Amino acid sequence: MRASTRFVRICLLLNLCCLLPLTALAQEGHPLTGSWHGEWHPAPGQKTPVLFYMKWDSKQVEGMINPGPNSMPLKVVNLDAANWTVHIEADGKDSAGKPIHVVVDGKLENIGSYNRTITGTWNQTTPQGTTKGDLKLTRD
Amino acid sequence: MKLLLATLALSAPLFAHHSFAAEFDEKKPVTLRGVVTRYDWTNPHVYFYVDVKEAGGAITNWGVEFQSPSELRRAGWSRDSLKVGDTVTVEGSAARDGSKTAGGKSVVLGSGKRLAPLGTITPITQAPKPAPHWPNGHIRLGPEPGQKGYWASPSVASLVESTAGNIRMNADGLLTNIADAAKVAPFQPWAKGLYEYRQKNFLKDDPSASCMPPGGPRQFQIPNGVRFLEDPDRGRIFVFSGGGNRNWRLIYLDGRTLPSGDDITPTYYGYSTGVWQGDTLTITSVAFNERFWFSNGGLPHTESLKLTEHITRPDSNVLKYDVTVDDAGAYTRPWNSGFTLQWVPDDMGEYFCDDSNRDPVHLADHPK
Repeated sequence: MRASTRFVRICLLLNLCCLLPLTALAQEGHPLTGSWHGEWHPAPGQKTPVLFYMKWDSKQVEGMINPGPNSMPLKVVNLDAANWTVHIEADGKDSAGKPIHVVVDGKLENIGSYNRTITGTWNQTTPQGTTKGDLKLTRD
Repeated sequence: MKLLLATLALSAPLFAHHSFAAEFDEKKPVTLRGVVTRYDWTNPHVYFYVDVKEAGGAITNWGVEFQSPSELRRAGWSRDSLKVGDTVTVEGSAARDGSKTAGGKSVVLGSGKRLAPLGTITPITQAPKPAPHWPNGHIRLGPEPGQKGYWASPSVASLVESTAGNIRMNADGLLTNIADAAKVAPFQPWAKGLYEYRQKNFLKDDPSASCMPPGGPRQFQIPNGVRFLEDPDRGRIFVFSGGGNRNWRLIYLDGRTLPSGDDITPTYYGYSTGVWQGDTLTITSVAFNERFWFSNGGLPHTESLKLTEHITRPDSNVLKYDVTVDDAGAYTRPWNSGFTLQWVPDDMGEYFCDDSNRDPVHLADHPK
């Protein structure tokens, strides 16, 4: 192996060694992009875990609530960067197959952190009525 | 050989990997008189600790943070400048988090000797000559055979759209007037909001504070400079970073195409191809991740970022850098910016940001 080729390979290996342990430290870009875990409270003492997945596509935020067989695609995602408020709407079906409409209003906080949060309300409407509760999401 | 001296005077020390203001409050000066208990000649900062007798008689141990060894060496310091047991008087700024930590600006020893004023960078440049060339006719971006040198001292602190006019900011890219934010670049609303948030928080969330690599134009803006290592036989150029963790960017000049679609693995320095057009090296780069700031000052970007850079060397002492930023995810249209760098006929000093980085704990969510 020529010395220069060996030098390049050693450099690339050292570079990887420097970068790999650090890759989980920070995520920048659009503040909503990412996976967000949390829970909402339909009634005092009750909590329902939720997962939001959101991704900025350069024009709008796309994503879903609870990815998987019963996921709800996000229909509306508005971020007001003047005060960092978030408005999200999604439609889906509950476990019984009944239609459900979800409206989330919250505030994005600790924006500079990888584990930023959204705190607000979860408002869901089904044929049986409307339920409202507190919501808190933390970015994974 | 005639030497030309240029001096850039700064009100606050220029730290190599984070904004001084992110950690220290210039409006809260402190004067510490005491005895040195420890002196760490380490990267990314030189630290020493001083036992200070408080008004009530209690002894408090203060930490004092300075620039990196290579920066202090340029200012006349050495690893022997201080010794445990020395009596010193330190002028500095208090830490924003309320800890017993100060950002040092000057030190006077008990003997009266004053260590060279800090915050002063003195790049030494040779009298300008025509830019050197390779036998194939291309301009040399690095030193000529048998010589040494690198590029440093960017003419601007942060990228600003070339049509924006004069926007005042400090050496870290902090705007003097936050109302100027909208002039800096054609931001999308979220990106402007995020830029302002970062500015209002003194750039405390800068990934470079955690020693992440400075991708994009920022590699040319870091205080410790950059060095080009050209390998024309293999059609590639390495751009070695004097900051971060001594890592580098690779530019291919072998005619390959840029990756697209599933071939993209986003990285800190992206994927770059270059071509010489006369005396100008034009570089196109894509495949950046979102884990770094591509300029001082906290300009946001997304994985859609595409950079087109034009590098020329008008004479032996000056590197001209122009860039078109095309990121439809963060900006409403492509925009242009640029600056110059100065030749430093010396070797880059060793600098490993991760060596003894004690900053992140002081930068996180400090009271404002």
